[in-house]
Amino acid sequence: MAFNSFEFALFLTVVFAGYWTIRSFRAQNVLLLAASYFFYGWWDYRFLALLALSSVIDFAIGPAIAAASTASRRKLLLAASLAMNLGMLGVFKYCDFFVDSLVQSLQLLGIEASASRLGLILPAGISFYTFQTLSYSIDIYRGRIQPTRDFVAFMAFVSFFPQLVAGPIERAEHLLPQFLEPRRFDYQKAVDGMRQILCGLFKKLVIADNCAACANLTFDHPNSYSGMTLALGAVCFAWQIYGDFSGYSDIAIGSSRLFGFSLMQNFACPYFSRDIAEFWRRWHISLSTWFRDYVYLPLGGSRCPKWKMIRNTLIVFLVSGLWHGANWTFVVWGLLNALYFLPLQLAGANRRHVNSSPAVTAFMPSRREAAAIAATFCLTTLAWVFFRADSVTAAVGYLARIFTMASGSQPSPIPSSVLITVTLFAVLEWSQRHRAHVLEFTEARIPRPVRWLLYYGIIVLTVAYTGEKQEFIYFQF
Amino acid sequence: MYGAIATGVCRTDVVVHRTAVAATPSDLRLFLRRGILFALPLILIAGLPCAILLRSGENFADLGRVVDQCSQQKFLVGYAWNEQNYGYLKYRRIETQPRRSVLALGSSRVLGFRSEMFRSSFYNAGYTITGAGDFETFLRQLPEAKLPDVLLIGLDQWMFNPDYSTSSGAASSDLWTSNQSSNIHSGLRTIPKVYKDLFRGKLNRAVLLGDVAGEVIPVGLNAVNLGIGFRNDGSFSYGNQVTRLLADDPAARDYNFEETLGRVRRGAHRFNFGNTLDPAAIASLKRLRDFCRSRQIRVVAFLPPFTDRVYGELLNDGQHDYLRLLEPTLRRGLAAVDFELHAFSSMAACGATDRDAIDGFHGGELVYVRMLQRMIESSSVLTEHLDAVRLDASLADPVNRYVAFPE
Repeated sequence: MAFNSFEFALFLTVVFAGYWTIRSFRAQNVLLLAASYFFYGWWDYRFLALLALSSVIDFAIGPAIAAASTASRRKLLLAASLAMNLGMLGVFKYCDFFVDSLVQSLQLLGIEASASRLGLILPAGISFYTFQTLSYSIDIYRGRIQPTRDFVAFMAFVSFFPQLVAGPIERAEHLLPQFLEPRRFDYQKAVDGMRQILCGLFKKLVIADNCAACANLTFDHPNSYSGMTLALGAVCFAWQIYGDFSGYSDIAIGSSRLFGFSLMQNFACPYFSRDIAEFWRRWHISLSTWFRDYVYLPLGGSRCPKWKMIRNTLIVFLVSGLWHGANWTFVVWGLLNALYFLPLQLAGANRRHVNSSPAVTAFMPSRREAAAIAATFCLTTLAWVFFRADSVTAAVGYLARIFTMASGSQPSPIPSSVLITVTLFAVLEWSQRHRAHVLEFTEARIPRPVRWLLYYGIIVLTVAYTGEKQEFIYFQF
Repeated sequence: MYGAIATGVCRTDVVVHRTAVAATPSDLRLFLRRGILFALPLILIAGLPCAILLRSGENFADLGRVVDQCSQQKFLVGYAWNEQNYGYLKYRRIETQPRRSVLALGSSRVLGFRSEMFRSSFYNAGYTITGAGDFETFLRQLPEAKLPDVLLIGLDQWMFNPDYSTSSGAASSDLWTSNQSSNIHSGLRTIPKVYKDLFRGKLNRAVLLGDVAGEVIPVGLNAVNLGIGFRNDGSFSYGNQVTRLLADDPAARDYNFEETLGRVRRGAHRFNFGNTLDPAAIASLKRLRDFCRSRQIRVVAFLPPFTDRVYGELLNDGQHDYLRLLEPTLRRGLAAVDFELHAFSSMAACGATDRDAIDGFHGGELVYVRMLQRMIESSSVLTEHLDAVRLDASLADPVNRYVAFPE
C-alpha cells in the first residue's frame, strides 16, 4: 500500500493504536514484525519468503562471523552473506540486463547471439533491505557491533515497514538497538512526526505529482516541444524526483517517530548545494554514506595514489548508478556525476562546504553563493535527463534539442501554476533550510491556534492541488 | 555532514530490561485528545462531500458489483469527475460476462451503437481507445475466450494526424484493469469540486438526499444528476444534453457546434493542424488486422461522422489536409475481405443531417442506425448480426431525433 493511500492511513492508525496498548517492548516488536510483513505482503505476497530468507540467513551468519576463530573463516562467512544478498539482487534486478547487454555487444561484433531472459518481477524494496542486512553482516565483521540473539527484533529491524520499501537505508548500529530496548511515547516527537508526515504528503501529492504530469509529456514526446519547454520539463523532473523521494522519506521518518523510533535524515535541501560534492552529502544521504562506508573506504578512499582515488570514485558512482536500475541510462547518470565530482576532488575542494550552510548569517545568499547554487542545480538537472530518459539515445536527443534551442510544433504543456508552486515551495524550503524538514519549528514561538490554522491550510492546499496519481519513483528500485 | 548516523560508536547487545516501561499515559492521552480535536473539523468538512460521493457512487463504488448485477438490473454509470474509470467498467464487463459476438471498440464516437440494433449478442466497449495503437493493446489484454466474431471499430480521423498522436498519450492498460475511482487520490481531488458544484447549485435534490430509486439505478454524479451515462450494453445516454437540444436551449453543450468550430479554427483539442498522415498509426492498424486475422475476427472499421458544417470547415481551411489523404490511404493499405472500411466522415455520407448530431463530432443514435443501414447495403459482414427490421422501425418511429430506442 502506498503511503498516500487511504489504506495506509487506516493501517498506520490501527498499528499505532495496538502498539501503544502493549506494555512489553518485545510484544511491540512482534506486532511491528507482523504489521511489516502484512504491509509488504500487500505489495506482493509472493516475495515475503524472499524477505524472510534474506533476514534469516543474515541473522544466522551474524553470530557465526562474530564467533569465528580465524580471520579466513570470518571472511568466508562474510563472503557468504555478500554472495547471498548481492546474488539475490543480481538475479532479480540485473540478470536480464546483463544478458541483453552481452547479446547486443556480441551482435555489434558481428557474432550472432540470442539468449532467453528470466523475465523476473523485481521484488519491492529489494535494493533497500538487502543493503540494510548487508550493513549488519559487514559491521559485525568489522567489530563495530555485536550480533543480536533476539530473532524477532532482528526480523523487525529488517522489515520495519516505514522504511522497508524505499528507505532510508538504516545501519544496524543505529536502528537495531532501538528494537532491543523499550520505547517511550514522546508527545513532542510524535507531533513533529505528524508534521513531517504532512510535509511529505504535500511534497508527494502537490509538488511531485504535478511536476510528473509535465515531465512525462516532455520526455514522452520531446520532438513536439521547443528546447525551452524541454528544459522546463527537465526542471519539472528534478522537482518531481525530489518531491517524490524526499516526501516518501519524510513520511517514513515521521511514521517511525510515532512508534518511538528515530530514523536517519535522508535529504537536507540538496538543491541548495553550492557544488556537486555538497549535493552528494545532502541527496539520498543513507545511500551515499552506505557506498562511502562499504565501497569507497574499503577500496582505499582518498588515502591512496591519485589514480586509485579516481578509480574508487568512478566505481562508487557507477555502482550507485547501477543500483538505481538495470539500464545504461543509470550508468551514464552515475558516470556524469563522477565527472562532475572528480575535478573538485582532484583540486582538494570537495570538502569546502562540510559543516556549513549557504547564507548562514543572512536570509538571502550572496551573489557568489546564488550563482554556485544555480550552477549546481543545472548540472544535476542535466544529469537527471539521463536518469529519466528511456535510453541514452533518447537522453542525448533530448539534451540536443535543449542546447540547439530547437523549435516545437506544440505549445508548452507546462502550466505556469506548476512553476509558481515549485518556486514558492523552494522559497519555503530555503527559509527552513537549517531544519530537518519544512514544518519543523519551535512550538513555543507559535501559538497553537496559529499552528493549527497552518496545518489546515496545508491540508486544504494539498487536497485542492493534488496532481494526477503517480507511483513513487523509488519503488522501481 | 547532515546525516543523523551515529558514527564511531561501538554498540554491544543491550541488556534486556526485565520490567517493561510503559508509554506515559498522560502524553499519549494528550496526543490522542488533540489529534481527535484536530481531525474533527476535517471530518466534518470532508463528511458532506464524501457522503455525496459515496451515496451517488461517484467515488469508492464497487464497480465489480455493478458489473456482476448487469444481467438482472439496469444501471446507468455516469461519472462527473472520474471518467478514467470507464475503461475499467468496460474491460471488466467484457472479462466477466458471457462472450459477445459483436464488439464495438473505439473512442466516444462509437457509443451510439446499442444492443437493440443487433440480433446477435453485442457489447459497446467505446470510450476505451485514444490512439490507433490502443485497439490491439486492448484486445491483447482480453482473455482469448472473450474475443468477438466481429469487431466494429471507429477510426477517429485525428488518430492519423501525427501532431495529435504525439500530443496525446497512449491509453495505459492500467485504465482498463484498475478501479481508479476507489482510491483516495481520486476522492481527495473530487472533494473541492463537490463544494464548487454545491455552491453553484448544480447538484439537485436527488443527489443531496440520495433519492435515486427507479427502474434504472444511476451510479455516479452525472447519472444521478443529469441522466448521463453508460447503459448495461455499454452504449451512452446523453441525458439532459438531449433534453436541452430538443428545447433548442443555448446552454446545450456545443450549441450550434460553436465550440467545435472554435477548436477547428485554433487547431486544438483533437483538431490539431496537420497535412500528412502518421505512418505509425497506419502500421498499428495493420498489426491489428494481422492480430484479428490470426484469430478469425472480422473487422468492420468506419470513419465516424462530423457534422457537415464542421467537416466543411476542416476540408476547406487548408490546415487539415490529412483528412483528404485519409480514406484513399486506408483503403489502399488496409481494406481486405476480413477488414472492411466504411467512410462516414460527414452526416451527408451517412444519409443524416446536422440536426441529428449531438455535437460537432458525435451523432445521435439515428445517425448510427443510418450507418448500419449503409453497411447492410454494402453487404457488410455485420449484416447477419443486425436486426434490419428493428433498424427500419427505429427510423420510422424513434423516441426523438437523437434517441432511437426507449431506455
